[in-house]
Amino acid sequence: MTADHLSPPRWAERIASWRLPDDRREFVLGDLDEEFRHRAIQQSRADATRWYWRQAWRTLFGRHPRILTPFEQPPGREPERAHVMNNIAADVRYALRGLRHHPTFALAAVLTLALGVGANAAVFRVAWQVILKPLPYPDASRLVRVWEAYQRNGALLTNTVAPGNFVDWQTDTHSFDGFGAYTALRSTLDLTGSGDPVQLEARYVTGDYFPIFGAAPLAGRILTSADINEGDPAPVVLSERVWRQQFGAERNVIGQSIKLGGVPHTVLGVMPEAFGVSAGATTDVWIGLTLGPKERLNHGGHYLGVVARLKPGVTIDRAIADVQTAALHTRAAFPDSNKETLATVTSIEEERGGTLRQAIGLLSGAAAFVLLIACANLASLQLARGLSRAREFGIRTALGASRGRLMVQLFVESLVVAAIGAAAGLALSSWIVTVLSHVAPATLRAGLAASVDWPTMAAAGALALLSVVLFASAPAWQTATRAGRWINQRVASVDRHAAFVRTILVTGQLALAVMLLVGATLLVTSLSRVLRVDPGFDPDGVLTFDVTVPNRFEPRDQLFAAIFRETQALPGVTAVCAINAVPFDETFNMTYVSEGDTKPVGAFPRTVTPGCFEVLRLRLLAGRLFTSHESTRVGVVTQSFARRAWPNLDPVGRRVHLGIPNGAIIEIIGVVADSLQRSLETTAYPQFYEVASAQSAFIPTTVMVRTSVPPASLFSAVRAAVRRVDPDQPVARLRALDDLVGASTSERRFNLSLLVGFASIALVLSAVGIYGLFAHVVAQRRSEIGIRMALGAVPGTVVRLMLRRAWLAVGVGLIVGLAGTYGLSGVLQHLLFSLSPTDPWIYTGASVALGSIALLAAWIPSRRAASVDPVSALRDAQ
Amino acid sequence: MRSPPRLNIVYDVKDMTQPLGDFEQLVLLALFRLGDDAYGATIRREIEQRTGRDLAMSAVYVTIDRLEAKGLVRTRVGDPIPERGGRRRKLVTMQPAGRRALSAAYRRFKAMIDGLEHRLDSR
Repeated sequence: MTADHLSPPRWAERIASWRLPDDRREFVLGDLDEEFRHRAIQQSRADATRWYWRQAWRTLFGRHPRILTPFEQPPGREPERAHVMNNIAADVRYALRGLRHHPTFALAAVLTLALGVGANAAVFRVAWQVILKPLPYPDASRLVRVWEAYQRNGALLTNTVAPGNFVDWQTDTHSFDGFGAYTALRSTLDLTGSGDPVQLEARYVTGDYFPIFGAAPLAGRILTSADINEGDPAPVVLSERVWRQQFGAERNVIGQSIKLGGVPHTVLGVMPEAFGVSAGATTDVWIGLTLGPKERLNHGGHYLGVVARLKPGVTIDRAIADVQTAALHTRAAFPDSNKETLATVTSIEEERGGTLRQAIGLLSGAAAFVLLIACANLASLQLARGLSRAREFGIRTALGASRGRLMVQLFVESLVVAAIGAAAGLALSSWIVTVLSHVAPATLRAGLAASVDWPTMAAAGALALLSVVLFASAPAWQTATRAGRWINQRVASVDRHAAFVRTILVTGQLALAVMLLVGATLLVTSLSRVLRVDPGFDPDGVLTFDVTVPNRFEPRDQLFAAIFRETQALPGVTAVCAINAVPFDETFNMTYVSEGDTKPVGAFPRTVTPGCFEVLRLRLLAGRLFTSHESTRVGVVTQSFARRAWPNLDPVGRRVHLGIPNGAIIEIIGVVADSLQRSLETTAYPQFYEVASAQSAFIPTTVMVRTSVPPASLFSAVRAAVRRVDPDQPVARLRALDDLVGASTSERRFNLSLLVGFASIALVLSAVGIYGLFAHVVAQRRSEIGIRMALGAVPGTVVRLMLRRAWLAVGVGLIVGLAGTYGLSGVLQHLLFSLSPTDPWIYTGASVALGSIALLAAWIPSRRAASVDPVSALRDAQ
Repeated sequence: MRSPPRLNIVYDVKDMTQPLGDFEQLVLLALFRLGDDAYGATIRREIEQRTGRDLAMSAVYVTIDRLEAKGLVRTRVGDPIPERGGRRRKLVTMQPAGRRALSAAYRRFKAMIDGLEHRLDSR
């Protein structure tokens, strides 16, 4: 074995070395070294390392007295390192002993701190997952997305990009090292030939896509432009999940050909899990995309997402100006389709989380409030405990302990509590996060499932340290300063001062608590208002599932006819139809141009079989609905479409061009009521319904079934029915429509759960704080109460006297808190729905609720004032 | 008839050392076994192997210091050795006073335990 192999652990050696007196260090370390080698050879290096660390630990906390020879002087007043450390080690032992002897204090302190740290650690965990965690790509700050943009009511709305625009802007811009695109609309492909057919989420990407991210593949290599040749089936890259689930993570699948949608594709490589999630919605397989000559002139179908990498030194603003110029050039060249098209650029790193970003800021603030409230309670606890240790500190001061020494001891005690509380808080935050993952939006759920990670632990540690500073400094300073006087002064005056400080703390707690309560109530009210919104269609009792359809119309029509036949026969089914995109699922935009006009109208395109109006229960407002035999291309539009295309005119009988002014003609035969397609909180966006036929622009792939029984009860029956039609059909995304609608509020429910949780914790902590304060006040003023009662005061009067302080604290606390909420109302505005952040009913309600709880918490201990026996009170006051 | 137990306590000025503490006894006994030029590591190892007590190295040194202050052992510094990372050893030698202290301690212990051995047998 080489010398290196047998050298002891460096850090353990350092720790031991630091603690040892100078005259002993060399010898002790030498002996430890020798013994370490001996053990490493006799047993194992691991055993030796463990032994060495134990020795280092004992050196750290042990005593190292030095026997002075007659010729040595005692060490000077300046504390040696060992001297200070001896004391700190002693303080830690003393603190732990103290906690054992006062379990109620210990429990109260640890629980309070655990609640404060736990709440913050949980929010930090969420923030880390959503915004703080570095993206797994090199130089991720330069990754951007390019969008089409439109001015609408003073705001700039973004849209995915039409291929014609993509191609033009790719050559016309100068700010980017790499300009790639991926299909933003959903496409699926069946994987056949290895077990049951499985439907995969496919994304078609241009050659630049993977190089822009710079992520390394898990196996094989990435797709590049060189791999894409027009005419040949493009090679593919698999996601890690598919590679593991479908191919058992076999390396030999790379280079092999797999069948997707019946077409063989070569597998180039595998991308790791992290890539699939952060680059956009879940993707199972990436396929090379070729934009043919027809697509390169398509400026009306906006189905591409565009990613790019900024050139070094180029800022986002410069890039935005660059793409705007390119957009204007395209508009000049194609005035019909690009009449209002602008462009913009966003940073991928900074748009992570989307709407959740704002909420996280708010939730962090709320969690900070909870921590402050917890620290106020802790400071109160420390103050109270300090009072009961008055004698102890007084004696120590008389014996010569300096103020600094006492403060160090108090700080160490607080640190010990903080360490235990932080550990408990970490455990609590883990539990909170587990509960949260059930209401979290789908994008967040995977990230929250992991167990506690290093950043969260570091955050919990930092928070504990912060709370030590917050809750220990004032009491420690006060205790240490007044320790000397306590022996002389009457405890009563110190007591009064402590009660005053605690009252201030309680008032602060109430202010923060009312802010949290108002916020939580506002969010709850918003959610209930959102849930009352009528989506315009009836999602209850509808189930949907995807099938893989043939490209040509006749076989597709027959497939649907067979599926309809089988499902209609199931008990409880009242109507069936097929559609290209269900409400509240991924959807994209199409442009339509009214005949004789040039202004394009954007709408969600819907290709449906005639039964869909019945399944969705869309109301007919004018004209008629589809029949099963239409001779020409016909369409049904929604109210908002009609209003935009033909304001104040009858739309029935009018005609539109699909996509561009010379596009295919479709005649409008009916108007239905608006329905929401993306979210319950936005206004309805126009939709254009076309009957499914050989010429229809889009292909229905989803079957919708209306049932009179709960949809979930029919899931297996539906699967069986489809299998009877075609055993090779993968029945994908089988779910109930109202779950889909419900999922659209998941972010709101997530924010709400956290804020309600925080408000509850704040309420409990504040109530506990108030209770403690009043129990203390009653005990402190016992002699005064005794005097009053001896002089004839009625017990009720005495209690009311005690409570005067409560009224004051509650009153001031509520006023300050409501003022604070009012001041922060701008922040809350974004998160509310059809509700003013300064809603007076909610302010009143929250104040009354909190005030009542606070007064109750004050009244319970104050009642004891009424049962004070005047004689014993006066006697004890001597 | 059994003769009464003889008191073997000999009052000798040279024997009137302070009683040895528990650690001090262990260290002296280890030294006695190891002979001259024992040092911290060997002493500690000897105690651990025989009694199973895993002492802290620094505690051993504190004890050696105390014994030296009482005049029961003498220490000197040895040469640096590569196996110890080039560090020197502090070699400990028992002094006659140490031997006397050990004997005295043994006699006291034996006097007290006389007749009780079978009841205190290691179980």
